[in-house]
Formats: sequence, C-alpha cells, structure tokens
Amino acid sequence: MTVTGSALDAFRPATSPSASDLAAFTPRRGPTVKVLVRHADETPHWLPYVMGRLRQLLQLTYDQDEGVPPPHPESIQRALSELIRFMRVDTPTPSVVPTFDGGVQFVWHKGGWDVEVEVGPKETLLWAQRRDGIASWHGSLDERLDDARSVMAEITVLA
Amino acid sequence: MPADAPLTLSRDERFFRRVLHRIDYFEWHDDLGRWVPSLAGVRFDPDGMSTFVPRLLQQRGHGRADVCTLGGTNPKTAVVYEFDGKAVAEVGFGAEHSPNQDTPIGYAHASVLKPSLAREDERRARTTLASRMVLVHGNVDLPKPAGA
Repeated sequence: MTVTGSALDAFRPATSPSASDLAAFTPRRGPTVKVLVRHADETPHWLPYVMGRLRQLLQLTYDQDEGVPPPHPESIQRALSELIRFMRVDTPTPSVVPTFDGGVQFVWHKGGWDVEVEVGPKETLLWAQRRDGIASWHGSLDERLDDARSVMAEITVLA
Repeated sequence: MPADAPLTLSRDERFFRRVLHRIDYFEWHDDLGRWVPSLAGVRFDPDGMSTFVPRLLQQRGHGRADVCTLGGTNPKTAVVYEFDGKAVAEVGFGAEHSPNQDTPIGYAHASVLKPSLAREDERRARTTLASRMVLVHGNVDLPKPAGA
C-alpha cells in the first residue's frame, strides 16, 4: 500500500516507509507500534479507509458555526497507534468522526454491538454495549484493552 | 411579529431533524445497513437538539423538503431524518415546542431536551436515538466504509 500526501507528514515514519510496514504510520510521540504485514494480502482492510479519514480530518477546514470543532492534531496523531492496540487484520472497518472536544472517535454498530473508541489528545476512552442489554461497559482503553480485543474478535467473527 | 406561543407536544409527536451532508455527520450502522447521524448529527447545545414538528409544518403548508431548504443555511448540503416522540421518551429525553423567528419555519421548531447524564448513559441514549432516526428527505451520498 502506498500512501502519499502532505497531510501524512504528521505520521512520520519510524522506519523507511514500506508498503508492508504499518510502523510507517507511527506518530512522532508515544510508544512505537510496529505491526508487520508479511504479505500484501494481509494488509488490514480497514487501514485505507481509516488513513483516508484521518487525512481528511487533518485537512478539512472546520466552520465553528456548524458545530464541530477541528480535531486536535495530537488526537489524530494518537489515533492510529491506539487503534492498532486492539484491531486485527480482519476487524471490520469503523466509522471515523470528530468529537466536540477535539477528539477522534471510531464507531462500530455491528453484530448487535455499539462500540465507540474516543481518542483524545491525552487519553483514549472505550464504550461498548450489546443492544440486547447483556453487556455494557466503559473506561479507559488502558483498563479495557482485553475487553476491546474481545469485542472486536466477536464482531469480526460475525462479519 | 412575535413568535407563536409554545404548544404542548405528545409522545405521538413526530420530529424532523436536519443534518448537514458531510461525512463527519454520519456513521455507518451495519446492523441497519444504512448511515445514521453521528455525534455531530445529533448535537445537543444548551437549548437542546433542534428539530421541527411535521404536524405544525403541515398546518401551514410546509413539509420535509422545507426543513432542508428553509431550516438553516446551506440548503443544498443537508438531509432530513424523522423520529418519533416514543423514541425520545424511551431514552429518557423530553421535547418542547420552542417557536422562534430564526427561520421561515421557526414556528414549528421544537427542542429535544436531555437531562444531565453520566457520559456513558448519554452515549447510550444518543446512540439509541440516532438509530431510531429514518432518512425522509435527500440521500446520504457516501460509500459504505470499505470492509465495514
């Protein structure tokens, strides 16, 4: 996969950009996340859409009168590395929307689950519910990382 | 000319919500197989979430298309969703007729009101309400996220 464009300069490569190395999109700060994709056909199918949306969020001009403030650049920088912590190669693609406090939100409504992962400049929050009422939880991604992986695995199986 | 006096709304009332046609205002609901309004699309400001009452619009010869063209600026870039008072009540929210003179159809303006809620309860209510909204005017001309 080749990604070009000045907006992606914010995602400085940790190593030389490679078509098969997600580390190329690691943000400047924070822990280095390396996800090696051994074969081109193992490129996460959610990655192009997510990268495209993050690029849009960096580039869009936001009219404050329309209600949505521009996402904080630090939120966008953190977003992909936070996502990689719990996503699998075959995880369904999320919607990517800005929040009112400068964050980036990943959203799934799938397999009876509603899941929101809100990445802010400093922290990441997770909220999930089963619409049949069986399960509902929330908290920081650090505290709920296993839950996040579990629900992603469940909606991936159902996909 | 003064704004109309507020009327009482019932649980059977229906509401039109105008949503800007920008990708930030929608999220893909795979279980419903359609786009639903996102956080931005169901935004609550201090006065509540702005809507219009179809019953009141109809009394003066207006309809859903007028919500799109007269209900705000940028008429070419909005769509209209509809939902009912039962959905509002189910999530613990309320609604009141709040006529104004901000737009030519301000006489039919209503505000959906939410109580003070914990963040997770607000997420649950908003998500449920958004999923109950049905597109009734315009098209959400966005491709489904690849791999969703």
